[in-house]
Amino acid sequence: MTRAGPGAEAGAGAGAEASGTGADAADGVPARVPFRQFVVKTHARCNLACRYCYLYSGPDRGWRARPPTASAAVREQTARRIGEHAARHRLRRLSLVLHGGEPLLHGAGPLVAYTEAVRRAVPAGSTVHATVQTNGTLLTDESAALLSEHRITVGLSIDGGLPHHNRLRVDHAGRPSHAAVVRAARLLADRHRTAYAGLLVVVDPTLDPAEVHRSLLELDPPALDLLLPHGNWTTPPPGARVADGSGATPYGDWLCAVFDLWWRAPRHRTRIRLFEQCLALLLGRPAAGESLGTAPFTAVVVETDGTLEQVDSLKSAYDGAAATGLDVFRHTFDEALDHPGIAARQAGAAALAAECRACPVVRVCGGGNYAHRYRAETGFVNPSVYCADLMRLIRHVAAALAAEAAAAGPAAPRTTGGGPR
Amino acid sequence: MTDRDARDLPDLTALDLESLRRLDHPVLRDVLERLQARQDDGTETLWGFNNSAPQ
Repeated sequence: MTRAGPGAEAGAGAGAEASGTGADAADGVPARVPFRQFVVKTHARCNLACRYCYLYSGPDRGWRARPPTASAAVREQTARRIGEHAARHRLRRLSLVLHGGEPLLHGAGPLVAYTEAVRRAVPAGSTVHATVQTNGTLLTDESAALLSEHRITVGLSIDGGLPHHNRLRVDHAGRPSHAAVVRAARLLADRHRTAYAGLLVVVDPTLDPAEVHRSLLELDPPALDLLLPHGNWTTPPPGARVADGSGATPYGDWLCAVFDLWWRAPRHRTRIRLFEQCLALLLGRPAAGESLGTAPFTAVVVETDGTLEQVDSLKSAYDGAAATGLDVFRHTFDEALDHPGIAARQAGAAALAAECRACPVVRVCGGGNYAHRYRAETGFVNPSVYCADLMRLIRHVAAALAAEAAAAGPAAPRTTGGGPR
Repeated sequence: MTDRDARDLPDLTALDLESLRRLDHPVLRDVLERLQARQDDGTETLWGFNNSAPQ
């Protein structure tokens, strides 16, 4: 079966229709937006074997051939390339995401070394915001202190504050990881608050949303994000009702329940990125995120062997979906910007399926997460497999915001009163 | 998506954010303050990678 790769269709479309992303180009081709987020794989293995892991349990097998850690040569060359990119594009701020696998498998020292190499390489006046995303099981007070000292924030992956919320997050022997992660969260909240970036949560619609929300707040995160599990039309996500014609939206319903709890809280407890993005986009403001909106996507991945790749979420589609054929030793980041898959994710609405472009919520939805649009026969130019769930959430948030606006009197919104564009 | 669905989505892009900020709504107020703080520096709006905690 012929498989349409990422960007193969949209790359042509993006060139033909200037989407207005980045600066206008004289020849009508949308100008590329420089990378601003550099996701560096510090360790290519993981001490957990989460049952839904799209990286190690999914179709992609690239990790098997890669070295487990990034060598000093890879770190230094990656840092040089980041510095080169920052200088060329005069980046005042950039994001360095230390990722894996499990980045803490070799302790915090290599993470500090990588971060400091990048900070030395960027031009004066360019600030590197570094964060490590970890499963938390290996975080100690000493490693948290070291990371904090070097201004590296720590994000934890956890699917709820109670043991049964994390029944899928187990190690290679099937043992639960929950207790260790909760310990890490309390360590950050109580002793290293400034280094506590927040929590990353994969949504499970079979769990009680109120219970999950309440248990997460007890870990006192400054922010959290709710991610839909990776899946697509060819390999639907668990529990998704994509083909039964029922109109059911289990993920949308779950997110709406959590939104109501967050929105109606008597005091602000934590940021929830997905909801903030939705509100910003409804208000006509720019918002970053892979889940919503049409903002140009500016992240790139450097693997432990120096290979340049698109973000891991694409690996949930098929083996090699994130590959670019480039690496930091032979290529610049500017060359990576020319890759069709990367260009497609900077093309805004021009890269979307026709039915998405015609949808009145496209400005907010943006087609959802790129990886969730995949279908083996047609590639990535499709609506999201979560289309109905996203619609449910966006309309719910819009109604909540409109209700508050009505209370503001003169700020009351106009109703569109029309059909699709 | 049905026509009824299209008509139900309000246009919120012209809302007066100052009026909204004065409402007694702590979550909305926090979100609006953050949007205002980012208005002059759009860099963070380009940090879209979501397989890490929000920076």
